[in-house]
Amino acid sequence: MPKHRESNHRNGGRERQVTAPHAPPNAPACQTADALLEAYVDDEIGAEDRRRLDAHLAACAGCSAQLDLARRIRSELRELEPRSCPQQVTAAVVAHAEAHPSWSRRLVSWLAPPRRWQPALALLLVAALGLGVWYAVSREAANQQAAEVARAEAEVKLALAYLGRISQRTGTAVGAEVLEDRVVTPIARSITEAMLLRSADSRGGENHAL
Amino acid sequence: MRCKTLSYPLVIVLLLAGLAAVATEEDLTRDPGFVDFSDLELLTDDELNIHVSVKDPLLKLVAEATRENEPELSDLLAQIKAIEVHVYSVKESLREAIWMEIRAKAKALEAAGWNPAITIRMRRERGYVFLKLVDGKPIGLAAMYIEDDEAVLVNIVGLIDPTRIGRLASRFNIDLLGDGADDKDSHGGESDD
Repeated sequence: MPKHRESNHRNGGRERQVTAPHAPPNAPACQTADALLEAYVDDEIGAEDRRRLDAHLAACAGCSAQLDLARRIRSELRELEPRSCPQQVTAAVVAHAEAHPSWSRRLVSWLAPPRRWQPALALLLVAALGLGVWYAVSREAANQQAAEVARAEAEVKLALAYLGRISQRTGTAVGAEVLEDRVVTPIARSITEAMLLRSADSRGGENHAL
Repeated sequence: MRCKTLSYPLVIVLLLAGLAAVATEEDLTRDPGFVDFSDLELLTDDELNIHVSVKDPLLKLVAEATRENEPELSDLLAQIKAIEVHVYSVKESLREAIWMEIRAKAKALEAAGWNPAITIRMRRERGYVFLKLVDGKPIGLAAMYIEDDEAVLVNIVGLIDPTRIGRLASRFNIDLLGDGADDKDSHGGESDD
């Protein structure tokens, strides 16, 4: 049975506004009423449609009987107790699942150790985790120590380099002192002596001439 | 309660470790090869550019680390207890006063039994290198040097081979090494004299 209706949710969807197409003057009114009955039972019909349908139901025994049937079906469906799956069906499904386990279940059962081994394996797992943490920490410490040693090595070399510079300066100083004492001073002295001798000679020559 | 029980041994261990560290520190300052430069008062921390302080446990590790590639350096470090280097900026106005302090320190060292090994007396560069001998063996080296705008103080504590030090010292270049260790306190806080 075609149902010609449009829905428009209002008031949070509690009331459905149902507008039936206006029947042409010669169309049977029962067809229009039948289209509205479901919404009428669910109390989701607009006020205008309700008024028109009430008027039709008051006059039409057939549609009133349809309405009673719809209401009875609705209440009886609500009163039905929920049914559970029959036990034999459940048992058959479980038996089938156990007989044909999935690949993941088979993998898990293959990997799962016997129950008596589980404490030992748990201990082993904890020990392995501890070993891993210890390894990571000790490796980090070793890296830090290596960096510190490399830095200390650079510093030792720097200290030795400063000593080297002092030694180098010493060489320069010794060179300067040697030059001063052994070359510059003797030459200066000999020049002075030579000049003194010359002046003495010239004075002696003048005296001699006189 | 359990935490308290566990924490007592931990506290005791830390306390002992701290005491051991302090004892080691005190031992080094009492070493005849150690020189306390703190009486050079014009060389202040504000002017300190480089401070190298490498001590025994770390020196042994460096000796081990360099054994293969630098055996001579490794042999030298194996006998040494500490190396200290202080490099200060020197203001022109304080140059002479600092030099007077260094001279006074040199006299004090000589009076304390240190032997002057090198004396540098040029116009802009002056300094001393002292060796401390015990039973004829050098067990400490102290160098104080001032040039244009820089003063350098070096103290090496431990059994020293001067020939080996001289040979190694000539191999290293400050300009190449300075960038890597150019911190104000490289292993800072270990021993501020």
